[in-house]
Amino acid sequence: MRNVAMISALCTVLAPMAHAERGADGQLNILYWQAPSTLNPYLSSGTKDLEPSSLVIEPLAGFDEKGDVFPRLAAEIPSAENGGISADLKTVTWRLKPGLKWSDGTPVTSEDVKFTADYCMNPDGGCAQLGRYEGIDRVEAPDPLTVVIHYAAPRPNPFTAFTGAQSPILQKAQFAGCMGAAASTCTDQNFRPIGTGPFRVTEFRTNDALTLEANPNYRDPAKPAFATVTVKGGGDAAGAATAVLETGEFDYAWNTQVPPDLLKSMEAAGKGRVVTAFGTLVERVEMNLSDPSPDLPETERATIKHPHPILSDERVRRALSMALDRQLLSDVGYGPTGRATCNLVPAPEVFASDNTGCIAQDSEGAMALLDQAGWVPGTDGVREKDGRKLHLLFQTSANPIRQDYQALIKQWWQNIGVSVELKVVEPAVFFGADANSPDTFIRFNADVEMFANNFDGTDPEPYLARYTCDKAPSPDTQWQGENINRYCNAEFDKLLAELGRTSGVQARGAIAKKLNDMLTKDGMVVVPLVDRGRVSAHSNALGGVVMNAWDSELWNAADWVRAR
Amino acid sequence: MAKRVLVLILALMLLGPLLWRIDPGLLDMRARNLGPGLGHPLGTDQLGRDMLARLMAGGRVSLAVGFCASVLAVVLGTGVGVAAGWFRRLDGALMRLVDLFLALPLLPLLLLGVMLFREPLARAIGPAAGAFVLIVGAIGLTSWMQLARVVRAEVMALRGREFIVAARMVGNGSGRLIVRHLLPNIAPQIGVAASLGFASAIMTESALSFLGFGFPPDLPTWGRMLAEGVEQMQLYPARVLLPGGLILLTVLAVNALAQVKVPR
Amino acid sequence: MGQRIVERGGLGAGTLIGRLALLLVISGVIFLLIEAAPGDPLGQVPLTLSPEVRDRMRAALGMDQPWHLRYLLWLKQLFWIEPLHWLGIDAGQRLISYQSRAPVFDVIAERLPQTLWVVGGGYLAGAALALPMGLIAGWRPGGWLDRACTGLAMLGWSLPTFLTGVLLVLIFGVWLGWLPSVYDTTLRVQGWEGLAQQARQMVMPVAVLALYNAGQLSRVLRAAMVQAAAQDYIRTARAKGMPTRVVLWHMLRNALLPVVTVVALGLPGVFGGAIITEQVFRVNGLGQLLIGAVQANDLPMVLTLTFLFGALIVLCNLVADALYRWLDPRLG
Repeated sequence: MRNVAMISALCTVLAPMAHAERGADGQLNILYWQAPSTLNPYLSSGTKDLEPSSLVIEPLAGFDEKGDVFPRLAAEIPSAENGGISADLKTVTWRLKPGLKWSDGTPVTSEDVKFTADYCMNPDGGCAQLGRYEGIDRVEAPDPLTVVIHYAAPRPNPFTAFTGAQSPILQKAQFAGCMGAAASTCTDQNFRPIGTGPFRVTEFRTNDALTLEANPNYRDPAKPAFATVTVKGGGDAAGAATAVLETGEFDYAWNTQVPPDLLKSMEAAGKGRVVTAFGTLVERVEMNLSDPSPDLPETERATIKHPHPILSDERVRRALSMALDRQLLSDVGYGPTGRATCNLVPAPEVFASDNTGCIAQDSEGAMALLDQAGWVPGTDGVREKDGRKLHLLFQTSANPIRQDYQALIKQWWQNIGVSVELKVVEPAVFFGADANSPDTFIRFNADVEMFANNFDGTDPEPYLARYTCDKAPSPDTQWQGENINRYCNAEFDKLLAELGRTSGVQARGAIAKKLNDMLTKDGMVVVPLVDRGRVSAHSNALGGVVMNAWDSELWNAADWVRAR
Repeated sequence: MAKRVLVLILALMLLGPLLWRIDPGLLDMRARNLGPGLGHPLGTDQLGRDMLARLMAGGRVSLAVGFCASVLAVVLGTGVGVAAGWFRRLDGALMRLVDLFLALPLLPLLLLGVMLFREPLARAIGPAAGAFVLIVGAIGLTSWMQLARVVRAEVMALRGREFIVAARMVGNGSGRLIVRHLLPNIAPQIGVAASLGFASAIMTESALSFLGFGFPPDLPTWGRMLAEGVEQMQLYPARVLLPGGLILLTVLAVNALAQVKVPR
Repeated sequence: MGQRIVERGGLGAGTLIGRLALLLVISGVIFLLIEAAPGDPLGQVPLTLSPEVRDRMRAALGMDQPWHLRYLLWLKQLFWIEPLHWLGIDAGQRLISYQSRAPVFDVIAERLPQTLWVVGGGYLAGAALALPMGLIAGWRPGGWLDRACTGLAMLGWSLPTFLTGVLLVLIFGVWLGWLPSVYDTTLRVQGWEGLAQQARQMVMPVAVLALYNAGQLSRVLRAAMVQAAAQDYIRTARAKGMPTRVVLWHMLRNALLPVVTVVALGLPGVFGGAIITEQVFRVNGLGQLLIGAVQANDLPMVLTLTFLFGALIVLCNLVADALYRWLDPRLG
């Protein structure tokens, strides 16, 4: 009896293995409602482009669902222990897995890796992922399986180059003619890159559809389970959710960001599931510490020369933050795919401060604080100080959820005696970097603005480095610069420099938490609202999906199977 | 019947807010997504705003957009069409103008125009008024050409007809001829064009809203409410049926009225 | 009078060159408009990219050049390099889209089939529906048939395509599960099965467009029929008991005048695509291409598409004029 039970148990364990054979599961349908426009992530940095490309081309290492680095083409992850990272933190040595082949059958060598770095670091190429190769002095390929990266300065976190879907390895033979200015003309290469991933391209129609087939030279002979894949684009998020959760036409839909109650009712149809993963994307309100008044000359408007007449007072910023009900914002806009947060760096855990003091709304306290700051209610209910009204211009990009948020925040601020004027800017303008446009989020010709941002990978140093004094945009820098708040704090700059010298995750985490708190809890320069998760949907007929917020969502597509 | 429906809708939109005094922009987070009830006869939306108040506020904007844009288009179209068909000297130049407008790709221009002029107009006359002028102008200026061509052809055909020739021989001036004899004869076309123009303006506004190029978010219109409601049609059908039904009713009534006005 | 129409709409080489000049002016106007618009082709790249990287990307697209040079380059690429490329001669860099770095004309060619299938199908079906509707309605104005047709036409007219589209998906895609809600552009139509599949995925978008177009066309036709019916000679013919068939033909010939204008002038719209319907059913035709390019400030794509679109309109105008003369001998 026991034997029978054991055998049947074994059978259930082995059952999925039984059809673990390349191509046995037929066709896989994936929906990216923002369609990919190219498969070369070095020419475009949109998620919609680099995730589908991650099915075809791979980096040396990737991030798993916990944010940990794991080897893809590399034999192992370099570390101080295995000698991969030198003691002075300036040299990183990667070793390739032996016997790797491109989908055209030729061997993968360290020359390909070196070529990829040269390709991206070419000054005329306009490489979108240049930041990943920042600080690299040179890359060497001493033997076919070894790659040595020399950094100009110590590099505490080397897992940017060749790590994650943003910096996959290109085949030298294919892209050799596409260096520098020629990069744009290589349409065929950019649309049909030869890769090492589980699939290879059969047809690519830009901004429309991509068809793939199993890579015959994939390193695991049993994978992928699917023989062919279609990645279809177009439509909107709601339509994508419908196609997976309600009609079941598609197996997987990316970014099904629709109103929470709608998503719930769609899921109730029972054809599929919604999957979520939280990364570092935070919707926030940013405070302008410089005066954006249109009365100032254009060269001095919103520059450090003129501190903001209202928001320079930390108490006012704090009161504005206290008046918000972040939990409600999260529920209204994102439901289960959002979390109220007080942190600019909400993850990974070692870097996330235990800062939750802002979650509870406190309008009474906010009003008391404004009274204390000298802003007293005027005859029309709007607070005044020295004859000046407490009036704020609040701008954001056009997006239904942001407009709902604007309406809510406006009402909360009005309740504490702040008059608010709303402004909405087209996303292409708002997020554009056109120095001549007065309406970009960088120019910040408003008092407060709202948008979402995140950082690549798992280390927040470059993200926090945006807030140093020298990064404030001004006419001298052609209005470039990431410190949009014009925040300037010598103590912050000092601590950040210390972070740059510190290695060891725990020590780095401690400093990063302090920096995060200086900007949020202590300074109220950045007022975080909601930590937004990635949300996608897959049908019940698709197995093996593990949602990942640190790398491409399709990171483990080689393991996906048809669930029966 | 049509007249009564139209009067009813107009009365509801214009006088309703005097009786139903809830602010259409007031958020009530404790009363989100309510069904019809005592406090909110038509329920509330996802931010707890009263649907009835929003429908009335939105209706006024939509009707005004439809009316102004179709008047603009009809005046332009008829004016150009009659002038081109009647005055031989103007024909060539005016038809070139029509060709130019017809050859311009209107939708991208409409979108570009909205992107270009929204900010300056909003600065000059306020965000709501700016958007109104912009959308009415954009719709009116891009929808008169077909009417102009049709009117021109009609006028040319009529010009050779006996009664016009006779009226001219009796000594009627051009102005009098156009008003007394020409316009009444092309009235059916103009009537249809005006009613279609009215409907089309309301619809174009809703399409612009759907594509994210419409009125600012705190200013409801029927088209905008409809475009926003479509996504959640299954969950809250009333958010589609109410604005959609009102658009349909208005368009049908205006059209029926236009037919009554046609002689014969 | 007829002489001038022939001149204006005629096929003389002089006028054609004039039209071409007009198109050039239009392209210049659009170029300057896009230049003046406050958008940025890099507005959609993530904020994680540093400003220096953005600058390099911009330079790689040639955007650091002064505007007049870029316009001249576009003209050269459109009128010299592209035609030579089609002849198999490589004369330099082809027109490249900012978004995808793909040759603009290759992308357009890729989008053409689904645009013609769906938008063209919707237009034809709409016209096929509108002709009988307009005729029936206009034959006896005020009758119950007229009312029914008018009602149907107005319904088609006053329902936005984004509403009818989503409604159809809900009914036939979600509830009944009969039809696909996503248009598969990679489908190869081979054999009966492929054709059936193509037909199935075309049903909903074509129906949405047909309803909309029929509403528009049948109204024009009905008005024209009503007017034709009131003409003296038709009334006389009817009173004298001429066969219905003959009277109808005479009326139709008269009524077709404005209809031909509307139909011919609407034809370029087929190539312009149907932005909303394309988006709802993910047809990804030329309309979606254009709106995507406008939103991304993809200047070469917008400029080329609008130029081709303008050229098509000019062509259809010529055709409309020719038809006009043929239908109404008084003008010819």
